[in-house]
Amino acid sequence: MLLKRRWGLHVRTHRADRGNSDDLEFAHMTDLSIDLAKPILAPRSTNPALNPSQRAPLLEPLGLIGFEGIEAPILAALATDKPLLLIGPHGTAKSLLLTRIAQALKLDFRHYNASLLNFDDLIGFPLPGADGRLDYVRTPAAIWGAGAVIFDEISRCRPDIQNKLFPIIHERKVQGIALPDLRYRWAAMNPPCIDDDDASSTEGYLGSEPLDAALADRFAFVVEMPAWRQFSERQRLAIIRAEDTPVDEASARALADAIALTRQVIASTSAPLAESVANYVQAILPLLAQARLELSPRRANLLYQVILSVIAAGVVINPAMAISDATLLALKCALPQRAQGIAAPEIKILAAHKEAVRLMTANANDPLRAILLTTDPVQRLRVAVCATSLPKSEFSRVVADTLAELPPGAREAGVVHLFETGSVGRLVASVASDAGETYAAIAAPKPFSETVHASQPRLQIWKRITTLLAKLNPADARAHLQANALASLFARKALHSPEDAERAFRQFETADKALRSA
Amino acid sequence: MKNTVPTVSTEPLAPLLHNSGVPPRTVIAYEGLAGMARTAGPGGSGMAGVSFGKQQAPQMYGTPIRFRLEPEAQAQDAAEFLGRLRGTWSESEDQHDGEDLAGTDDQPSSPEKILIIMINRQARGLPLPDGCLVIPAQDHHPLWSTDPLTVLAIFSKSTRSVWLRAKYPTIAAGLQLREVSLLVPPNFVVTP
Repeated sequence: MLLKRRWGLHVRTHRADRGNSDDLEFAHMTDLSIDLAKPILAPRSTNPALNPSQRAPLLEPLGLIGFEGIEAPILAALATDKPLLLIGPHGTAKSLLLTRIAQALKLDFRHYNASLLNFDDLIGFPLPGADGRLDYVRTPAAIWGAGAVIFDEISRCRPDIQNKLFPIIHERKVQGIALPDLRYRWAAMNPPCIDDDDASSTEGYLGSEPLDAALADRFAFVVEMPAWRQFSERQRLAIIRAEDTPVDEASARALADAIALTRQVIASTSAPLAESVANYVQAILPLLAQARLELSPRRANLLYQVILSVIAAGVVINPAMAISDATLLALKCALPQRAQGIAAPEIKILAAHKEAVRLMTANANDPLRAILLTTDPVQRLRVAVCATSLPKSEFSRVVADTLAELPPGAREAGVVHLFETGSVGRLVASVASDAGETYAAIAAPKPFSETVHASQPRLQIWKRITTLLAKLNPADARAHLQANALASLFARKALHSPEDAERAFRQFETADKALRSA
Repeated sequence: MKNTVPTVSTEPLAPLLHNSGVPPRTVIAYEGLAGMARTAGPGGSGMAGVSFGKQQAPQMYGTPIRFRLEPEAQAQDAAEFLGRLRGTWSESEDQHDGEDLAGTDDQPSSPEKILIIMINRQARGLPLPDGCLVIPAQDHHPLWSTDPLTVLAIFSKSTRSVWLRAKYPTIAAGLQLREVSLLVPPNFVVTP
């Protein structure tokens, strides 16, 4: 990819400890999609701390081994003071990480085990004051005056306590009283079980409940801890031999400097990056929705801020990091689904990211842009079929992805549409063949016969199907398509309950109507 | 549609065996909507337990058209097929008027390359949708063409389930076939 235009953006940074300034040239940030292999910074900086060849680990000197992969989001969370949630199995140093950072930053912090927490522990004992107002007896463990709080095991705490933690995390308030000293709100949890056949649900913890969607949505950063298998041999040995030593002063100062520097870079880069990042967020939202990773409007705003801050943190930690990599890392660390027990497969996130980056380079009139930004899969298929200028490979990819996303019934209607419009001829052979296999059982009834026990659910499903089919008018040719589609779904064991049959029946009807009205 | 369609039937698989411990079993079957709807009617109470007569030709959505490679055009490879084609070509020159078997810009040398160019050219001119469902040929499907080049343009551009005009022809696979039918959707007018 060639660079079409450049910002020639300069950012002046100042290192308090060294008293020197640096002019950093952001030569590749015109657009997020620009030469993704290029580093964030042109290798022009004279500051050793910002020299790509001299990347220094930030957390390892604090005794935190193997966290290079999540340093940028951690630093971004520290620089922006936004709520941070760590998710990981037991023994992955979640609490250690937060505690060491709090110690390094010399924060007055409270570490609560949310599973054992009573609200009185948090606020102290209520006591009527002399003026008749309610005051609290401030115990050393109470949250008043704390600069940072760590809610450990937040997914194991009682729902009523979780509700009371909500305003602390969201707006730094408890019982409606502001906590002006509270800067950092952190939490940690084990991964909850994921109710998804595709997911490796064995990694979930039975006692770890999915967070309420609203609470999960308040954490700007939701970071997964690196696993043991991801560590290098050196790191494993270092962890095995690790001892609990105090945080040394130089490492603590380096962290504080990095936070300050990140803030400067955020301030300098946010304006010029704003448009590109906003476009990226706008592009990725429907793509994530297609992958069944729906994000709220608030999360869209959070994602925008997280990306800007992680890119800035990437500049500070590793100037050689490509913009696209920093953006992908930010995206992975801004999805609340993992805290909610919803599978967020890496492959789907990566595919959505790549697509969004590609859309950034697409011409405004490119039909692919309109197609991929269409959230409703039925409408997307309709638009794709109408976009006859779309290259075969693109059209095939869009069709394959969209068909996979459509629910049973609607998928069959989509396949019918492809054949009725002749657009199946625009597909590559493999995708067309798959569509053909489906269409074969719809265009002509595929006879089947099956013996079932009276007590089996399949008989109940079949009875519902016959009831539904009895409503159809055999004089209407499309009724036969609908009947065949439903029967083929049943024969392929794609319907698991009478309600599934009902849904598929309606889905076919609705999708077919929408596609034909085009 | 000649007959009613058997849709659902419940047939005891064994004579009544009271207290035998064998749970009752039901045979469910589907062969199309027509029979089901005919017997259902207003207020129908579902089909389980009802049996219908067999249907000979299931109703299809669209027009089936059949393509057959006649024995005299069948060949083992591209060279043999081209040889046979040249034989028929001379007899029906008007059919392939102006077709130069080797007269392309890049001067293809091998019989396969020549045949692929001819197949692609022939496929482009076929008055069919760009993609059609491939179905097993049956005698009652109208025979649309036996012209060897047309038939090979269908066979070699067909996968197991679809014919695609733009597909790269696979001649070896195409020459193995003898007969296939395409199901053309109703909104396309098919003229021989």
